[in-house]
Amino acid sequence: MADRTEFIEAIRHRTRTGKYKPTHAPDIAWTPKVEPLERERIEDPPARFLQELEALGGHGRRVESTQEARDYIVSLAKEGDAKLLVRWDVEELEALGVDEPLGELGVEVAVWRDLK
Amino acid sequence: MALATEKFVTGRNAVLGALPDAPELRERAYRVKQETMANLDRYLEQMASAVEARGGNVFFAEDGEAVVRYIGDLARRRGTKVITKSKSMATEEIELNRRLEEEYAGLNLEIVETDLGEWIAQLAGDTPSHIIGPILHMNRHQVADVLSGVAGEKLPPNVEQLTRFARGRLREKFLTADIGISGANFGVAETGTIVTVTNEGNGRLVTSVPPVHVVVMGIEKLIPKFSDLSVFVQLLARSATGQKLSVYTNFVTGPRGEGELDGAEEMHLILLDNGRSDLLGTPFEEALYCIRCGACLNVCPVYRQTGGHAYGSTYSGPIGAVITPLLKGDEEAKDLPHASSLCGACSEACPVGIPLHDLLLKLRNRQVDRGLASKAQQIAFKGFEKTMKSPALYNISTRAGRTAQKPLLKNGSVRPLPGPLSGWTGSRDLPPLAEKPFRQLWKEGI
Repeated sequence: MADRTEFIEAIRHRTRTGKYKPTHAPDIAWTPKVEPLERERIEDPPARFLQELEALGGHGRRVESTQEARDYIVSLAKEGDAKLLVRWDVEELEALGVDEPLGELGVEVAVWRDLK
Repeated sequence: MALATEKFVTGRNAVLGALPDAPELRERAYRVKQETMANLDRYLEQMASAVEARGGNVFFAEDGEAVVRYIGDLARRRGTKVITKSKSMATEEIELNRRLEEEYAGLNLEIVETDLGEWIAQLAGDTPSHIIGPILHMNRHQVADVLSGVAGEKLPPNVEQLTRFARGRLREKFLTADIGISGANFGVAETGTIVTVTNEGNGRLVTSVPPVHVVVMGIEKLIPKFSDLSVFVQLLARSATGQKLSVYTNFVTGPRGEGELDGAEEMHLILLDNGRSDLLGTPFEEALYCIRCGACLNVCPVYRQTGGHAYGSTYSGPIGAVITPLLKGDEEAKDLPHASSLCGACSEACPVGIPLHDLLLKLRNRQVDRGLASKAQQIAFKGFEKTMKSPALYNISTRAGRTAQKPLLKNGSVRPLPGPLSGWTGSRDLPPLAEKPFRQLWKEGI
């Protein structure tokens, strides 16, 4: 098994004494056959994001306030008859204040940091 | 093979077409690799220090034997029973699985490949045929047969059902593994970060669920800075599968830190040489720039016809034809540099600018210099050299050719050529030598 110093030294020797130095990437045309696509300007990025997400089978809702966001999450829990919800340990989700209304619905809320 | 590789090529062209600065990215990737190889000793030290600063262990392995020893001894110390592996060409190169099973037979190790294609190949007792798609040579009926053998019942050749079955089986292994072994698509020297790219999520489950994570990484995979990843991550997926980004791109920087909830408790980075450093400072150094995207395989007219197994080595296609003789020796891989039409499609496709067809020519030259060319070939080319250097000899030989071809002319073509050359005209028309050579026409004022 190689000693670390010997290993590195062998490589150092090769890089310092090697006669060949590559110069630049070959001058071979590397343009794909299709023309570059025009970049469309996205007027409403959140709307576009939701559209793409839904096209992939995801679900989303655009909300104006924290209250609306909280209500949406609670409604999802109700619809899904959730018993246990796990959420990330981040400030924004703490501030959302979903734990209490979900608790009132009988949904146990577990925070990631507390999971064993 | 043709269908699958065509799909990769079409996808690649489309997503690269969407990048307005694709040629600049390629040039930049080349420069980063050039800089890395020129200072590989320094970046190896930096990488090792960064990993150790985060609590990882680093081992420098000269060859496959050293890797097998290290991992086998680790498995013994840890009382390991199950090892999960994400796809790693480096571990294929050194035949890690077979050697661990044979040389540490007493440990009764169960080593499970978790890349879906690699797992199916493993179950079938087969070897991968493509760097990115290990079982491109199998169809869903063949896959169903293999997985039915595992299931103990006939599974339908339905992709969704087969995937669901595989997922269930592999999930058990992920959760019970004692050691997870991964390769690395990139190693970032600045931060000690290992980057793995997958479409299945197995990379994440192998590197963070088992208590011990072992990385086997070729020394050439290093890049200097984290910011360099913005170049390579863009190029890798686009060149490999035509995706803008792989589904999962994982960054692992050391073992689990204090207060962190996931990640391996213990991490070992094995930096593998296995002949790579022999290429530094030689005309073959650029072969080390490879990011294992497989783009050259997908465009190679030879690979697309023969498939990967025909190369008889871990690495196939143009890059395989280049690095196999470099890592294993010319004698062991004499035919591979000749398995090419030198069309240059591989060099054009390479996202890092490796001049693959140039390197194939250099390998052929090297064989001749080392006396490995056959006697017949040596004689033929000596004769060719003599003739082409002498106007008188050239004139005599072309005049003789014009006379000799007369009995062989049929409908304006020479067919068939005599003896062993007849294979050449079996499916081609050979145009005849002109009645009057150009030199004569020129003298006559035409």
